[in-house]
Amino acid sequence: MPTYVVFQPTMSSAGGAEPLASRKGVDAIGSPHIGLLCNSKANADVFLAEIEQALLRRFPAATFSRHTKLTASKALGPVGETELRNCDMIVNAFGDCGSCSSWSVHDGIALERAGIPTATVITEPFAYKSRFEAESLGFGDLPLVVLPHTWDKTPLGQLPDDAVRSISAAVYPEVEFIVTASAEDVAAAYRKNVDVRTDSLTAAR
Amino acid sequence: VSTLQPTLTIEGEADDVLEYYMNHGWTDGLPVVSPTVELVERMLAAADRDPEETLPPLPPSRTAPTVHAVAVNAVMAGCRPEYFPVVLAAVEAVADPVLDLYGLQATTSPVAVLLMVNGPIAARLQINSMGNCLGPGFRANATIGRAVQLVALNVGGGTPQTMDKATHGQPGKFTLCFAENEQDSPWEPWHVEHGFALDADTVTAISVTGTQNVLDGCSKTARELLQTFASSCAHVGAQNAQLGGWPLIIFSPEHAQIIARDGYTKTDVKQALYEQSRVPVHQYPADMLRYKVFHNRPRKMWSDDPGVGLPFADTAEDVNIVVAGGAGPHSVFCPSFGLPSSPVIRAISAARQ
Repeated sequence: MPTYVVFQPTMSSAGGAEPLASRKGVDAIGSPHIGLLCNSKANADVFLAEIEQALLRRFPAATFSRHTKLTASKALGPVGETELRNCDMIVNAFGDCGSCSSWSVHDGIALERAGIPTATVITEPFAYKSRFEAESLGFGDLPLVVLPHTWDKTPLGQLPDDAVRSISAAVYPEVEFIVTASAEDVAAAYRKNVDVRTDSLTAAR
Repeated sequence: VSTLQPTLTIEGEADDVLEYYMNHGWTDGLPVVSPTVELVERMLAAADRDPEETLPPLPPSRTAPTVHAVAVNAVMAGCRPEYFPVVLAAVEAVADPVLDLYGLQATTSPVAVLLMVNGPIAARLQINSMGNCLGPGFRANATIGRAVQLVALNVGGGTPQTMDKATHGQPGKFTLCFAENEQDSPWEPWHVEHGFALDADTVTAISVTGTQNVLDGCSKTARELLQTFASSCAHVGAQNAQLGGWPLIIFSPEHAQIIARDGYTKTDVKQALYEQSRVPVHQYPADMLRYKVFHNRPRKMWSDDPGVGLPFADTAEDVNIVVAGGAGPHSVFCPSFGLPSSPVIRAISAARQ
């Protein structure tokens, strides 16, 4: 039988797991300054407005910075990073398509690297890809809140406002965990994980 | 430590090698040429580059391809060795962050990377610039574009469905490469417009979401012809209408000649299309205006007046114009990925003599 000696065409990626930003822990947080990073995708503003209300109930003395990206499919960039630089925690929403979820991952890593605990929200079809991207960018532990992509076959960006608000309320505990639990606990919870985690969301779907 | 690609020893017939590559997800679904040591060495010999030299990293894997890895993939794609300098320059072009391969390899959009070659090398390598230049039948066109796609897959990590999240994709993601038809163009070639000498060899990477036919075999003046183009390029679903960016028009030589005969330079054509190719505000759905258009287009374009038209590019300079194709009354409009992705032009290094 003949033998062929051929080259493999692939190369492995470096990967990596830089540490997450340190978290203060919920008891040490008095009056946090919270960043709401909207990537400009349809309904991301509605989602974040509800998260803002939930955060305000949890932290009544909280203040907020809001930034909306010019385009979802580019990096946050220096203007946005400057606006959000003084935040104690950030909610970054939401990556519900291929390129925008990639840039949400990119932004989430940039903010964690800047020392700000950040909850990055994406939808399920893009979860595996986003995890791979985070690992390739050297940040395999990045906490990713994974939402189902559709409810009753309607994608998140095209749902009515009240449906988006109920999703936001259901996922809030996970967001709070990400921005307030210890970096070690958050890393352990999200490393290699690409699942929808909030039970009420899975049930609602 | 050698950074050359590892070898595999496969016992069996030639089709067993193919099955192995297919089963590992290393092809685009079409058969590949087995990258044997001899064929890869011949490929490497055609370029004056160290096989272990690395090119800029490719997202999403962020892996920096070696010249050797590019050669392996170029063999698989079916390239002749003399194409290799073009493939290397093209890989460098697609790696430039301004093209946004990080977004292009991940997006749900059908976007493909179109490669266009300018300069004397196009004729030397028989890169088709004439009839059916975007279609099948020409080895250089077919395999140069395919080689770059295979590098993006095998080194960049753009695996369909898991990493490449295109809703449908498009046939241009197999290969999409042509040469500008410089000899039949009434205007200065693309690379000269971008500051290169006429006899320089370049390759340009542009993101395109598709190829849309623009038929006009009746209009006798530039003004009338441009009316056809203005209508063809402005519609709500085109990514440029929502996201700005750099739309491309591949004029047929016949259309270009009629327009130029009336005294239009490239700059005039860009300006005319910028002014005329517009989507009225009332044609956009309200939520699209709110979430997409008014976030992505320049603030000066925002308007509540339903009669105001938004141009298909943010400035006249952003309209890209080239000439290619054979006889016939058809041109091609290629909407691009939009604001995040701008064209990249790279010089092609001389092949090893």
